[in-house]
Amino acid sequence: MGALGLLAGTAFLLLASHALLKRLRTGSAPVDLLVFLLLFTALQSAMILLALLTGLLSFWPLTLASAAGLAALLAAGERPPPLRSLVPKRPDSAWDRALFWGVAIAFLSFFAKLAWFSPYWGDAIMYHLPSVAEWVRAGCLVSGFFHDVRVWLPAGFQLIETWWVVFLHHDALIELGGIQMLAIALAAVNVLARALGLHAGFAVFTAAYIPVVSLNVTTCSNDLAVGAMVLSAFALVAARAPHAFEAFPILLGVGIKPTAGMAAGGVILYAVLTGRSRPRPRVALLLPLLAGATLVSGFWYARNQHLTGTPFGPVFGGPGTMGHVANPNIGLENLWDTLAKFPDWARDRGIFEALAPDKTAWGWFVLGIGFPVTILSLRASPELRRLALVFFTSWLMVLVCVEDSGQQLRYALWFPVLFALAAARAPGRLLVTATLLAGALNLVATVIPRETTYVQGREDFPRDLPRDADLAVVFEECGYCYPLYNHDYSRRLHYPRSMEQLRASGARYVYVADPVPWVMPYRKWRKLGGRVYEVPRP
Amino acid sequence: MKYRVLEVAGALLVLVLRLFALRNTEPGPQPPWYGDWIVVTALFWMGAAFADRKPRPQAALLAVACLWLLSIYAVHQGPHTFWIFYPGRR
Repeated sequence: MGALGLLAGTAFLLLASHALLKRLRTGSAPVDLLVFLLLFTALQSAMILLALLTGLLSFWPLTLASAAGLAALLAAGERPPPLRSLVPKRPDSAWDRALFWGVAIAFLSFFAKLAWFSPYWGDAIMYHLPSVAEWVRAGCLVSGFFHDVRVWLPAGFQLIETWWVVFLHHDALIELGGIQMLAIALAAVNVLARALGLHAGFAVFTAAYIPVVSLNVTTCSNDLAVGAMVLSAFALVAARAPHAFEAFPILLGVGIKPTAGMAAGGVILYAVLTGRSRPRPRVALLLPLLAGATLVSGFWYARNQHLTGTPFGPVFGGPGTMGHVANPNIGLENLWDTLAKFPDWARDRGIFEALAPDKTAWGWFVLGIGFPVTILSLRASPELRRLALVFFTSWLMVLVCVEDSGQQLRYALWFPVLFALAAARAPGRLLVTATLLAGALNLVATVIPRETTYVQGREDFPRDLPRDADLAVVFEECGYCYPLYNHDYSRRLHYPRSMEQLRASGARYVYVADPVPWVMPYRKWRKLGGRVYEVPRP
Repeated sequence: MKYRVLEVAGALLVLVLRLFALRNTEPGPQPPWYGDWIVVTALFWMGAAFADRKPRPQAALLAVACLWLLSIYAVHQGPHTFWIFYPGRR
């Protein structure tokens, strides 16, 4: 039943996005594909946000609304494109076929990870996905439900993830959000490559196999989503879309993570450098689109302003409990700190991880092949020099705005794609062979994400605990909460911060992630297994 | 490329500054000059500028630079790439 709802909902979004695309059509198939994916994502986000605000976030309202929308579109004469037009053309040469199948294998590996792994990545199960779980359980927007201050960060990517779980009331497909973002990122790389006269297949293959990109596909992290939006903005500029529309992905990105706004400087510079010769925008269509994107993204900042008195919530500038997020320090010293460590990080000493701590996780291609080939390409091509300048500008702006945590390079996942593009200027057989081998090494290193070997949140979890029994979770600043909700979101979690709150919650069981002082009596309580104890009745 | 002299000067500056930094950096293991990717990249940049519009020397330089850089990368990343085959590391 849930699968039927998801199919109906997705069919509605696909047809609605196609209907909008027909009115925006750019005349270029690669640009149309990118715009189509962006429209799909925007409508998907808007629909979930609307459902959250109206308290209609559940199977029946969303399925009925989707079915009604689908019927209305069909009645209005909208038809999906013929299936034949969606089948990619057979690449001409053997090398192109190898690159094509390489990208197909990358996508297969992501679907295998989707099927095989539950959400495993630390930040996602600490504070990204608990929001999704609370929304799906409540059927409406729930804000600030626990005291990890990062719960106030913009949740644009959680809207996309919620779409893939709400119909099923199960998180089996939650990583589809990341695969969707990779599709957007690669569609943007395709547009950029074609606009600059590069070998698109080579650029797409190389970008798909950059470890820090591929690892972030299935982490439920929002960094790839921001990367996809920034690349889309660059691509729309390169494809000479109307200036107003070039802002569309950045507006969507700001609702996912503020780093999209930090990277916007390079996009604006690119738009200035590429001149004014643009087609006239269709104001009647573009204005509602831009207004919609602003509303969907601006909502999180307005919510924070309303509930906490600051648009960024307690995360930035407020008295948060976590030192590394409570006190932003924007300045050139951040940039120097990162640049001083970059020569060491580029060597990637250590196993690739999505967070890329103390390394770039850019993989075998970028340093070994990408750097020298990029030098040659930049010497030969003014267009590529311009692209490198604006990529660098955006990268430096992001690095000025984020503190040195050892993990800051992942905030600009889109940056290493520059080397994939630069190397795609005129790839000969030797270069393609070396790149295919580098891709294979990157795949070996990332086919099992390192983080899946960490036990987070479910260690020694008692099997005999009833699946739907309420559970209180006690942590000091952050905890691995999400797995405790169960895959079908059947368990209600409470987040008490005192013994009185714990008693008032009515939860019979408590998961002590951190033994904070007020919960110390737990040592005398009956242990069910792992960190779960039974709360004695008063 | 019109600005070959500027390019060579820029690459030389990077090379000198990097060699200086390698000799005078904070405590900790520093790679020898031939194990540093910035040194190799700067040398390649200089070579590419000298070999401007000469495809064969440029291709040979590119091959040497790629092999050299891949060797440097392999020394540091190589053992970690195959981590899934080491049962003890999981």
